[in-house]
Amino acid sequence: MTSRRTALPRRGVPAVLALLLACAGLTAGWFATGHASAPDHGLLQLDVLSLSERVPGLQAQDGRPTMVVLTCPSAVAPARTLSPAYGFAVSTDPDLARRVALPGATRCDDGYVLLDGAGLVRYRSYDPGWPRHTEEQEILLENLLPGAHAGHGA
Amino acid sequence: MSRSPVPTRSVLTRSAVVAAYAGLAVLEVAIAVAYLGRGTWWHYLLHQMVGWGLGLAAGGAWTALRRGAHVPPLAAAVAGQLVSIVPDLMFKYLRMPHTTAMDLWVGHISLHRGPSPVLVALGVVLLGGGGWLSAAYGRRRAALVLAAGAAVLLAVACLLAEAVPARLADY
Repeated sequence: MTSRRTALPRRGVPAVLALLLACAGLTAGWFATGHASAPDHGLLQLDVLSLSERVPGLQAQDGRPTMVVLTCPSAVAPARTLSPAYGFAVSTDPDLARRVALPGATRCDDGYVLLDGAGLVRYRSYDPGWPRHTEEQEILLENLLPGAHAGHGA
Repeated sequence: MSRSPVPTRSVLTRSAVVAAYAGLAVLEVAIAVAYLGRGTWWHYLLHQMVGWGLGLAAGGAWTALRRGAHVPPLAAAVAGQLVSIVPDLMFKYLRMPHTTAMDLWVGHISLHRGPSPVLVALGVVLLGGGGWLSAAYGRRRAALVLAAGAAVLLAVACLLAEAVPARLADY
């Protein structure tokens, strides 16, 4: 009787087992550090320009794509890190934070919105580390310039 | 006079293998650091696990269907990983924002909005890895079932995903 099984090189078996173990460890670490669910319902830094909405109290600066950071009054005044080609503003207004669906900003969970040159809100995200994520913000703002190829993301 | 056995692998081949592993390690560290630097560790976790899982699933299925065509697992995993992060590479290097159409890259967007994204990603990599291991041990049917299971799990999670909000009121 012949076996239907085919002998294969099994050199990779330890590597696969190690990879699966590492993935289980990473996942356990994720949950152990308090991230029991997807942050902000899976919308944290998703980088999709899905919005197109005017919000009272928000205006683009000089008709340029503009970033508005929502934070709390007790936060240290955040420094601007963005290119001067784009507008930049900081708000601690809790009503505005609620209007742009970032109510956590009043509890110092910083977030930001991006406006196009016409003043429409095109993107919103929580991002506590926003001062260090300039490249990400500038890529999105660049796509809000007139004539940008991907300005209508969703 | 007896001759010493001819080495099966030349020094050059061994060096190339070591260099390939070193390059792979550097690539993996660079990818992890890039995600960490953007504060997107969560995205790293999801897309790498899904990519590795689907790569291993494809490798296992190929081995099972071709009856013994060995697919090196690390090559399969890295290929899947690279497919999974194409939208992120497009973001960084082509400066393209994400769009919902990027779900074509193994659910790159919907994965975030589906049920229990991290557990789904873990499930995909465990099923895919199980598929590859089953194929390596000649369990063809189990390999195909596990590989298909990885793909089906991801597909169902993406089908159940909520849409990306188009209005602030949707948040």
